Amino acid sequence: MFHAGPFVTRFKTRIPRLVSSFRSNYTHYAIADAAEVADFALTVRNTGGWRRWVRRQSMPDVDAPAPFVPLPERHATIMLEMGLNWMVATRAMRYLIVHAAVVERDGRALVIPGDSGQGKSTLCAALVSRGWRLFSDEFAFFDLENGTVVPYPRPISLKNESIKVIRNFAPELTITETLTGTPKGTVAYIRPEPDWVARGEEPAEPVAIVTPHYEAGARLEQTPKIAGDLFMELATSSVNYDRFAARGFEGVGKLVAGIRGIELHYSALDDAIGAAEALIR
Amino acid sequence: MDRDEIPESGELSGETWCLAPGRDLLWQKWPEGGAVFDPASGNTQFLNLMACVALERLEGGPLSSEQLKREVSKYLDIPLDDLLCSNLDSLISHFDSLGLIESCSNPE
Repeated sequence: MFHAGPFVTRFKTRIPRLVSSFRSNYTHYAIADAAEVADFALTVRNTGGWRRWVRRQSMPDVDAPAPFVPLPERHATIMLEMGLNWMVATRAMRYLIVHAAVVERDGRALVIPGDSGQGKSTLCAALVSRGWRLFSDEFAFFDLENGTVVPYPRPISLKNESIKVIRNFAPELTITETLTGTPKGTVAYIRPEPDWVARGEEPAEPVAIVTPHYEAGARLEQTPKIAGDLFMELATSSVNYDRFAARGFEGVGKLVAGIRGIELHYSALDDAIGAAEALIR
Repeated sequence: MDRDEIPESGELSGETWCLAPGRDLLWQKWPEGGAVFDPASGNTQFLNLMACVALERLEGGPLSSEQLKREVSKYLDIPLDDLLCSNLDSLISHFDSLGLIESCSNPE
């Protein structure tokens, strides 16, 4: 069992490759005491039948029906990460969960929503390489009781072209493994730094939302977003907004009242970082 | 066109509309529009300014479609023309389909 942000996860696997990968990606995480109660329990195992002997596959087991298809055993790390994402998205119901990366500086959090391929994780990786603290590259956890956003630092997932971009831009970040031929192309993971993990229960005030749009050759362009658009962005990007009913409606309303937002078109990461820094000042 | 002269409109003409029973709407309002949460359905609707004004008016009490058009025209200071009437007829139909309002013309 290990601590990540506010959650304790019980993780089991007998796949040697995944044991090795987990030890590398999660090396800085605190082991939970055996007496602690796990928020999530995840097992990644090999599938049965003839696949036990030929072209082994792996699958997450989350103690419930889940929309996974097996992947080759060499991609078991993806099954681990997908399994964890699925568990928090469906079970961490004390937070309003929004599909977005989050980074923090000086107690002020920047939320980066975006669909797959829009540059969310690339911008997130670029920012953490320049002194920002990683909260998550996948989910923003809003505590509607006090209006803060809560960290859940896990390995940053980069895909395809963004791997090379970040290798060049931030060689100091540790890319632990690169998996080729996955359903999403080539996938690589950045190991979270010790400070991000150790401060995993230190929330921040959300102050800005940046919706990134990477376009090769594009000049930096920032378009302010109005509160209604920010509300819609948070509500529609949330995986559990409906569950909060009136509390979610009121809570998101309060959040957007104190947040600035921009659409950011860019091609140079340094320009995007400059825009993000200006936004939280 | 005179502000009080309402263009011929479709089948909604003459109907009176009111908020559906049990609707205790919650609002978020911004200069450009708003969002409304309907606790009865659990749904959130995002509204432009015209839709906000129209639904707020109906929240205040029953109005005929003609009265609603006049009030929206007056509040937003826009002409009571074919375009406005057509937009509001569509809006009324939309609110009706969402269950936010209902016709209270002929209580039979």
